[in-house]
Amino acid sequence: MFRIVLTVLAFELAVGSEPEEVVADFHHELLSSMKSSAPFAERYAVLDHAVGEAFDVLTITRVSLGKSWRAQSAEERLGFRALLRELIVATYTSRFSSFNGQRFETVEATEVREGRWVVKTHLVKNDGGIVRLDYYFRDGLIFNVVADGVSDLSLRRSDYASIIGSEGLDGLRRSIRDSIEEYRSSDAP
Amino acid sequence: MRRSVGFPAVFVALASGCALGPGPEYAVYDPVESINRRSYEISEGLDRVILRPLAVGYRKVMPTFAEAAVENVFGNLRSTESALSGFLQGEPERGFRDTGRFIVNSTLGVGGLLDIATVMGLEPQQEDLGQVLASWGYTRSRYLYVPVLGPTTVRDLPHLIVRAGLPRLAMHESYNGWAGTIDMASARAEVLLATDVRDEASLDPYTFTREAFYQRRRDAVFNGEPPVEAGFDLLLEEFDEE
Repeated sequence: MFRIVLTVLAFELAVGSEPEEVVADFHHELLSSMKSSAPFAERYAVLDHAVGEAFDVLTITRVSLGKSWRAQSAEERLGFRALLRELIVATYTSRFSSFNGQRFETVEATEVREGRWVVKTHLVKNDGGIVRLDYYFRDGLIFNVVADGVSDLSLRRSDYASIIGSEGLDGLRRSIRDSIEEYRSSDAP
Repeated sequence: MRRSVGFPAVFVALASGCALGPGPEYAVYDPVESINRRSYEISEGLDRVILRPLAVGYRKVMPTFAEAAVENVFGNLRSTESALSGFLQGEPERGFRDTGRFIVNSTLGVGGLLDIATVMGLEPQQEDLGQVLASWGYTRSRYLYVPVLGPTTVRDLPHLIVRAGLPRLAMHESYNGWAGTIDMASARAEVLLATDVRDEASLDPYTFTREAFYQRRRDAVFNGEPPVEAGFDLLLEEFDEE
C-alpha cells in the first residue's frame, strides 16, 4: 500500500502541477499574505517563493523589453530578469497586504493550444464585487495576468517601450528600482 | 441651432476616423501624441489640484449609502444609453434588460436612488455608442485625450458626449452647479483606486493610461469575453520568432 502511494506521488511530481493548481497555490499564498500581519520583508520572502514557482519571469522579461531584449548581453538579461522578479514580488506584497473577507474562485481552465492555457478566476470582494483575473500560461508557468480585460504584460511592454525610447535602458533600470523602493517604503510602519 | 453646429462636427470627426487605413483591430493608434500628451498634462494638473481632492473629500464626507444612492441616480439616467446601444448592436436581450432596469429603478427604486433591478436579478450592463460603432466594424480609431473628461477615441466621442449630457437632458434645471459638482465628484471617486494603482505602477502614466484604455474598450466590446488566442499571438509572436 505504502509503495502504491509513493508511486502515485512520484508520478504526480513527475508530471508537474496543472495550471489550475498553480493558480490555486498562488492564490493561497496571496490570501496568506493578506491575512498576515508580518512586516513587508517577511511577506516578500513568502511571495518571492510563490512567484518563482508560478511565474515565467524570463518570458515576462523578454516580452516586456521587446526588441531591446535582443541587444542585451547574457549578463544584462539576467540582471533585468532579477529586477523584474523583484518588481513583481514587491507589487504583490504591497497590493495584497490587507484582508477584508476577499476570496478567490476559479471559473474555468482552458487549453487554447498545446502547452498554452488560460485559467479564468474571480477575486470576490466583501461587498460582492468581482475583479476578473485571467492567468495566461506557457509551458506550465504564468506569463501574463489580465485583470478586468487589461493585460499586465501589454501594459508593461508599452510602459517600458516609452521609457526606453526617452531615457534608454539605464533609465528603465532606474525607474524600476525607484518603483520597487516606493513599494517597500509605502509598506513601512 | 446649437445642435446643427455640433452634429456635423461629430460627423466629420467620425468620418475622418473611419477613413483610417488598414491596421490591427483595437490596437493603440495615437498619431497626435504630442497634443494628447499636452492635454493629459493639463488635465493631470487640474486633477491634482481640484478633482482628486474633491473626490477624496467627497468620499470622506458622504456616508456609504448616500454615495451609492448618488451613483445609482446618475447611473440610472445613463443606463438609457446602454439600453439603446444594446438594441443597436443587435442584442435585443441586452436592450430589454437595460430598459427593464431603467423602468424598475425609476419607479420602485424611487427615481433611481435604489438599485432594485439588481436585487431582482437584472444585473447592470455597460453598453455604449462606442461599442455600437465597434460592432458595426469601426474597430480601429484614433486616440484622443480630452481635457478633464479623459481618454477616448474618435469612435468613442459620441459616448463621451452622451454620457456627459444625459443627466443635463433628463434633469433640466435641476442639474445645476451643485448637481454637476456632485456628479463629477462621484465619477472621479469611482476611479480613485484605479488612478492610484496607475500612479503607483506606471513609469509613464500617459502611455499606461492609453494602453489600459484601449484594452478596456476591447474588453467592453466583447462583453468581457475577448478572444484569448489573439492575446497569445500578439504577445508571443516576437518571442516565438527567435
